Amino acid sequence: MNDNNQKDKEGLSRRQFLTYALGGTGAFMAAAITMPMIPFTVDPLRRVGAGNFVEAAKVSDFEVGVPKKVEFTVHKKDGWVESDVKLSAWVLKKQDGTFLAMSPICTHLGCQVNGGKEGDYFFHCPCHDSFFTKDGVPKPGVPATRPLDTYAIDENALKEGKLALGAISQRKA
Amino acid sequence: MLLHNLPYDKLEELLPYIDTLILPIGSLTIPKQAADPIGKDLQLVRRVATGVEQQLTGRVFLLPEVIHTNFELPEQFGMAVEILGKYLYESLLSFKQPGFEKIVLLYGNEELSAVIEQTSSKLLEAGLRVMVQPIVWQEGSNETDFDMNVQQIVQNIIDFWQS
Ligand code: FES
Repeated sequence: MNDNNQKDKEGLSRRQFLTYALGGTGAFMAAAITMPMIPFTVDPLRRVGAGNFVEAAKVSDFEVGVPKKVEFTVHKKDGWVESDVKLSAWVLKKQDGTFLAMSPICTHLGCQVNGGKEGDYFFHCPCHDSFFTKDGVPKPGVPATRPLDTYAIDENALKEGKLALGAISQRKA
Repeated sequence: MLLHNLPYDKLEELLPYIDTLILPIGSLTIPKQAADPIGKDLQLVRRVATGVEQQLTGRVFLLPEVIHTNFELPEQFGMAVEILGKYLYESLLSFKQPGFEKIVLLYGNEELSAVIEQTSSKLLEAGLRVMVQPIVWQEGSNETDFDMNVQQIVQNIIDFWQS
């Protein structure tokens, strides 16, 4: 994004922006039919309660030192609404045999990071060019300042050869 | 970001990072296949738009969808496509001054292709960058196809940023 563009927007008053935003599509919507978008629940695992884990993969699926993306589904109940939420994690098996399961959500403003980059920084966020190491630590100077969040891992399931993931928590910068 | 869900002070904080608007354009018509629900296209456009926004949330604003209606039962009523085109042009042009220079027009109904392409050309002439993104949905497609569709559109938007 270029600097001029950023400056213009920084100088934009709240009132001006709302005039554009709501006077734009909003006015039209009054003449048509409108329905709200469904908001995305960022951490449904936290909602189902601490200590709840969902099986996401087998321990044997991972190679040491190579993060791999796993996808899994969480069944969520919100009042009378029940739904399945698809989640994903980047899982790194470390040299000592322990696992790190990272959220794919960039800690800058929430875009999905892509994995598989060569070199020191395995993850890249396409939105504002943040880079992260295999462990999810951001490159100095990029917009993201915190490491990628991590999922809790069920130690008991690991002993049975299963990787089960729980609530997400933040790591410090 | 979902524009209409943001508190105003948060908006100002985010503006420097957001340069792309996604506008879903849905159709409300009598479906061609009798078994399909009315508004199937609208639901599809809405789901795809939400899926794309979730992955690129830090750099895009998802605008409330615009809905085009057209019924023939037995008289035709609804909105002329010319009005849709004029509306799209004028409302999107108003986003230029605050600095939103990139616009993604997301739609599913191929009958709207011509008017959306024309509007896109006019917006380009007015100095905006526009990506027109039809959603391709075959009968019998499943959830995996849906995810691949979203993934492809996300990649197209990243390419659009880099072009
Ligand atoms: S959201 Fe990832 S760098 Fe901004």
